[in-house]
Amino acid sequence: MGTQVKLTRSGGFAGLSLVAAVDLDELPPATASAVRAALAQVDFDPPARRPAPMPGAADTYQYDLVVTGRRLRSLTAHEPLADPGLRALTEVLLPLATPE
Amino acid sequence: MHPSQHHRSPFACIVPPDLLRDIIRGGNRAEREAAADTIAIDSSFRTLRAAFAATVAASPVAMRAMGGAGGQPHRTIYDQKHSTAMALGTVARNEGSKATKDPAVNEAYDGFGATYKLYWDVYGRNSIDNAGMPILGLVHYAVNYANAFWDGQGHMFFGDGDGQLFTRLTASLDVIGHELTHGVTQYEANLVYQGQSGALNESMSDVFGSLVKQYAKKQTAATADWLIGNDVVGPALQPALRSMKAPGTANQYDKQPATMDKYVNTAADNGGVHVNSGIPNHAFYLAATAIGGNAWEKAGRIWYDALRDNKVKPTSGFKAFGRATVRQAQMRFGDTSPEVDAVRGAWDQTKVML
Ligand SMILES: [Zn+2]
Repeated sequence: MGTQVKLTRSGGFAGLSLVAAVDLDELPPATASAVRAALAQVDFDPPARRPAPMPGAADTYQYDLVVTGRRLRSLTAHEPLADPGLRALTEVLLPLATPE
Repeated sequence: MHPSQHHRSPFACIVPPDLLRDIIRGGNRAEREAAADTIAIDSSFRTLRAAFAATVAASPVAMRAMGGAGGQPHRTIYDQKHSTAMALGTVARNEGSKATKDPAVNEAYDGFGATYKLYWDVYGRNSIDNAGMPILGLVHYAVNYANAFWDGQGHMFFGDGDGQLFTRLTASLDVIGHELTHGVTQYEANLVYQGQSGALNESMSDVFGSLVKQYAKKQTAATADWLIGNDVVGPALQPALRSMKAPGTANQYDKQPATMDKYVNTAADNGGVHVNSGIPNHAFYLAATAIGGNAWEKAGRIWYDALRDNKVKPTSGFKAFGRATVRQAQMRFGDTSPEVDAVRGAWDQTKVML
């Protein structure tokens, strides 16, 4: 069974959700390997991410990542993204995202 | 400085009672509560001690209460030059300096001026913290950034837009008023940015953002468009981002409810804060149009007073806030006034049971 990756960017002043849901087996090989490389760097443990916005902040983006495959992994993070893996992943996947 | 840092008695025991009473009248929420605590715990001579002078120097509110000037914003606009770094960029324009060749810089400067003016002229509020806080705008943030935000630390960031969702965000008075109002809310009720209190926080920003635009354009409740972001939406979000008059109808993706029975439960966007804000937004629209005339005069005053009402807490939802608007309308206009009826009717129509 292949790996599915769903990245949602929500919030911002617009409150608009952009969703990229991809199956790595169906992506062009170069894109799939960029996603794999980024995912390998993502730290899914809570201390490395930002589960709530900066105190008092408003209209920053929220990111929700769900990876399904051999196991399920997920996280929620807020701007500014501290995790370089997550930043790399947003650069690859957000151009493929569509408004929900 | 983050407001939480001065939530507990910054004036502890060294400020004269008269000055504390001035602060209670003029300060922001945290300062009023701290001053009230100080009066409550210390009504003795200790308040008259010599350390007073040092406190005045440390407290802009105290200086204002001592006769320091209000009515003048202190704006600085920084050019972030498309960097995503959050540190302050290059100063592009500061208070009193001439317009530059950069429209984003001038729009931010003028928009902050219009926002300061509404708060000062109509509500007697001196800037974000009601103590003359500097107003800092950071423009040209990131590349093709289709967003604007308040960072919780006194800075408003504006992107240039992606051309699809948004064009240059500074070109909208309601966007600028929206962002600055997040600062005002932080210094008053400090509504937690999650779920219903978060949606209320968002609604405060839309309400006063819209009022900044209406006040600058001299529009009445009847002539205003009650739209948010219509000056800066790109082709994907035409014709506007949000509608306070008809939530859910502003563009093809607009899912805002107008009534409580349509409240959206979601984990996205901190629990749907930009979606469910449609309900209190619509309540404000209904109250303002029922009262009639200029929305900033009566409905805006009631909403502003409710944001400063001690019974509205950081975790308060629509009901607690709605009750505060009724209470404030009663105190200002009388228990049986048409203004109270309009406010009650507005919450009733949005199906928020008070
Ligand atoms: Zn907002």
